[in-house]
Amino acid sequence: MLVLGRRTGENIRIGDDIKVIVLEVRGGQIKLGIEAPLHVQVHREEIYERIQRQNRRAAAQAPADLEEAVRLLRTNEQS
Amino acid sequence: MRIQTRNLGEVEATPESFLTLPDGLVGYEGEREFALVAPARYAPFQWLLSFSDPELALPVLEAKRAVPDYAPAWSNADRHALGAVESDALDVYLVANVDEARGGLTVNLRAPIVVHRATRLARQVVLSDGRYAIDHVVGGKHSETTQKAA
Repeated sequence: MLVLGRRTGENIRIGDDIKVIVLEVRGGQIKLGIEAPLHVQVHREEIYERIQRQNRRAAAQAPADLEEAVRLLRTNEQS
Repeated sequence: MRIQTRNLGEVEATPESFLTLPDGLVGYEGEREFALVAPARYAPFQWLLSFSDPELALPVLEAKRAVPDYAPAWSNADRHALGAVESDALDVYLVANVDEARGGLTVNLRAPIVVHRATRLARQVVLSDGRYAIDHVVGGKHSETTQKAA
């Protein structure tokens, strides 16, 4: 892993078109600005991991588990 | 075309149901070609099926049916990825999970699957707004859309 020290207001360039800006460092928290092309997705890692788990879980569930949900949704829509 | 799935067996999918997700799904970035099918047995659920991975079959619900007041703002990046379209050209689907610990059926409001109806280009959008829950309970007494941010 490349490790770089930066101060507030300093930047890091990744390739030609990604810039990470250190906006604020305070009390163990760092605020970053990120400039990247529109096609590059930027997310907090833990959010990404939770969505990944949720997708995997949705793919792993047995169709039989959905049948009760199917029944409930149909009942709700009729009422 | 017939698609093999572990969950649903062999499923017949017509070309109108095909979707291309150039960036794949979160956790399945390599899968680009999908079909969105609606077997009567599971209605109102639909299934997002990968052409090439039989394990990848996700039950989804149409957002406007599951959570009628759901209207997230799409970022420029997402509009660009989908072909810079107006919101009414988009269909929105939510990945569904049966989660007994959460009290039943949940949908992922944070990462909807957004489909450009005309071009069949689609994307799992990750919203930056933390008010959208990953495990929003559908119906029942926990149906508030604004849950604690992650």
